[in-house]
Amino acid sequence: MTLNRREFLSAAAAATIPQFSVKWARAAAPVDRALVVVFLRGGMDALNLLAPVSDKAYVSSRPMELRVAATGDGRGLSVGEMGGTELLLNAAAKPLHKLWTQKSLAFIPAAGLHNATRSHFQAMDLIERGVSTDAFSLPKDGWLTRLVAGLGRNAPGSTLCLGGAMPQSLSLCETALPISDVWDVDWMPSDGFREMLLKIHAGDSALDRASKQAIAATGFLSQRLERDDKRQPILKDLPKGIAYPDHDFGNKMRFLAEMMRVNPDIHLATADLDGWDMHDNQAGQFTPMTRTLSESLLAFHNHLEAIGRPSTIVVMSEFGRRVKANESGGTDHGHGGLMMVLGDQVNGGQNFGRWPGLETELLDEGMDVAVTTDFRDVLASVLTQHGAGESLAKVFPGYQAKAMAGLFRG
Amino acid sequence: MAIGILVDSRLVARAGIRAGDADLARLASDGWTGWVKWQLSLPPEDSTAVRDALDKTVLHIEYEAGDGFKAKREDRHLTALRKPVKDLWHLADWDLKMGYEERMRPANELLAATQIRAVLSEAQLREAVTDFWRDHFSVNMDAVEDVAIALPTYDQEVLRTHAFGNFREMLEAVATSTSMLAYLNNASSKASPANENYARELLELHTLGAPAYLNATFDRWREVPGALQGKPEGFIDQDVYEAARAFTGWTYGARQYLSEGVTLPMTGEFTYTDAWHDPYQKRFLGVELDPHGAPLEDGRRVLDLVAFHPATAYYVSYRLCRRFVGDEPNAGLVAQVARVFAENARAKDQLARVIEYILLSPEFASAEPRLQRPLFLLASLQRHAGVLLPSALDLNDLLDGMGQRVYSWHSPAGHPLTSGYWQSPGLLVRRWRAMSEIWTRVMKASGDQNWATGKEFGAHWMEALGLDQEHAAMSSGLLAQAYGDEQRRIDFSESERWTTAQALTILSSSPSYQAV
Repeated sequence: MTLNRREFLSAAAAATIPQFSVKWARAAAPVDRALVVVFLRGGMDALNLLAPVSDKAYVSSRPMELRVAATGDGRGLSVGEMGGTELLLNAAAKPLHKLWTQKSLAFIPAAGLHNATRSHFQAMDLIERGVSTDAFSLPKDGWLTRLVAGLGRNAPGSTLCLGGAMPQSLSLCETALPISDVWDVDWMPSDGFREMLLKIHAGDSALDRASKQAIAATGFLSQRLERDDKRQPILKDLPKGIAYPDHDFGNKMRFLAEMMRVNPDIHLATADLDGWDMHDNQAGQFTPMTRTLSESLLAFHNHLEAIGRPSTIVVMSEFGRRVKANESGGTDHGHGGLMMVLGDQVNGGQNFGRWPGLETELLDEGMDVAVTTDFRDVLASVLTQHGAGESLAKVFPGYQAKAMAGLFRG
Repeated sequence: MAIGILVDSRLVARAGIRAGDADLARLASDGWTGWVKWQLSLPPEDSTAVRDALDKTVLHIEYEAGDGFKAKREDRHLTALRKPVKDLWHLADWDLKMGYEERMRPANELLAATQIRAVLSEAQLREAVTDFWRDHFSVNMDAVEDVAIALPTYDQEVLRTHAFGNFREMLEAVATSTSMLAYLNNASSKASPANENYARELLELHTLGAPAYLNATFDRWREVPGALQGKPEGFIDQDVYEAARAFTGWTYGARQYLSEGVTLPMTGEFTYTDAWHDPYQKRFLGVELDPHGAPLEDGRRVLDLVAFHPATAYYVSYRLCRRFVGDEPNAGLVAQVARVFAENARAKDQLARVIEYILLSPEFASAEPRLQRPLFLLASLQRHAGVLLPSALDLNDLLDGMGQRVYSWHSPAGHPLTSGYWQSPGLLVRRWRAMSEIWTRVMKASGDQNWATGKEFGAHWMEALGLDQEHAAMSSGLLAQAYGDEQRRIDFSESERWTTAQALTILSSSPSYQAV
């Protein structure tokens, strides 16, 4: 196996840096339901993850290595059917199968954006703004930005995004904090430094406001760290039986779970897993990516359960990929994708929505999986469960979002 | 310093990196217009000073022994920068056993050289504009090794060489570059179905741009206004598919199998492979391309049609204005720049004229200051301190942390051009953390023998950073904190160094230094 540079560096770092986790101060306040949105950047090939194996067109459109096998050694894992079409999960997604069979995970196949765009950037822009057209009248901020405002959850450090940049779903949010590791939280060298930094950012420019936001949110979170007598964050192992994959995404999800333990105010977080744009040599890339995603989600779900943080995790991508493979051993940009909802209150072990079929006349523009569930209907179900049902009209302007019946228990 | 020159030196920082002595002399004699014309006349090749520094530079390389190769741990000179791709291509041969770091060495040398050029190059406008093209024609060295191995050539021969040249010529240099062919997979695109990756981003990111992508409005090519006259306003997916067909067979030699006993050469260099090309007629942007064209003809027609399309003139001009003028550039300015772009579409110095127009515009002179890009911030600090930090890979990690992932941006769209990205609270925390680390290194590199008292030390840095009286009280407070008494002689103990680095971090974190 060959490693690309990023994997190589992360393997090298893992070999030289002692593995540790931070032991956080025990949360005292009552905990709150948290929503975690995971975005698979690049257009995840849903047909390679959750396969309509009994659909004849599926088999004829793709070479074997870009399909989930219906027989043999690498046979897919059974996850029921949808409108009579048998669905198998990619064998590399075994941890997801476990979550599905224990009824914590639900699939919503053929979900996505009702807009003809096949552009990553335009599709992400629309989805993350919670809209389906770029009509001038629609808001430019993110759907999560409006959710935070609607819920009035403005406490510093209560909304996190994993990574240095703000995702578009939180764009123009003046309380969210992008962070990647404990040193992003625990970075302030001294109180004097903080005062000076606040002094040079005393103005009200966007830069000054963002600076104050960063200082306040990191300061708040860092106060909650448990420390040794040298004031260093205390290190502790993961709860028993939980293992994150040795990958940047696994590290981020683990860090997020630890932050959610230290700060019960965290009610919303986003994380990205990049690298799904597989136009070329997909077979070599899809399996390890799927493994990373699945193992991370399983570990994260179990970790949150172990620390007593009830939550919902939504997994989405900007689109699915073309039904028919190209001659480079890859797939090009498509349309309908897959959404996944995971959590303690999810009515899992089921598939929601409607399978549109893969016969040419059933495809979108004759080539891509049609969208039968608007992404906002899935999100509306989640928001309703999180007590934000009243905010739906603001979060998804110009759209009458319909929560999906039965996606959650009770 | 005369007020006029002081104002103009701010413009230098906005257009390039930071004004040095040569820039101030030029501003004094020829003014801002003269500075711009002088910068545009400087050649793409390294100056003697940069070349000397690159020749002296050593960069660490280290790896463990593996199957068929020994462990290595050494400081090595830069040897890949001026080698053509074919002389580096053995690094792409997986049959040859070697430490992985050897394969990444050309890219790592380029990253080190990029930082050295940012500090030392007199031609700072070309550095800044090259950096713009790195985002416009973004490739990611982490995506596949082939991108990284060919990176020195991509940076020098494709981007830096054409930075002030002709857009159509640059476009073909990019389209035939090993790094872009590898990154956007055109290298493996064959009939049929073709791989659409490059064709789509060519249209959406490199030329006509997202505003001209009309797929949500029109389903058929003939519906696009102007299409029946061969002048469509924009493009739809049908144009993407046709462009992808046009570029089938544009690849580089990497020993690909063609037929029994026939493979492409292992050179890494551009080659057109007729056996992979889709030869039939195509219709692109409302224009018919005849079947069975000469080698490369289909792809070149596509490049002509996009390079000379009015949407491209607008989109490239808009992006240049966004980069150099402001987040939401004045529409009138963009229209004027687009006019210059279109009128000079066939001129050798088309892009120089476009850039000159932007830099001499009143909108540029009155632009709101925005955070300096991390690569140039790091270079500015070194320019001001009069030091060149020893090359090290982790210097690049500091830039990554501050949000500038040189040749490692995760998507073909390149870094965002607007402030919202660079000043996200997360990246600000990283910026402050990085500043503190940079100051620690700068102080180490600049030595400590020149300083007598804390007060003198502070005065020196206040002047070097160009900070005004407003910061003087803060400086003196910080230094009092660092040394107890600013009249005391500095002993540069470890703790004193640390405190001093913190003080300088705060002073240089001031918006009046960070934003240009």
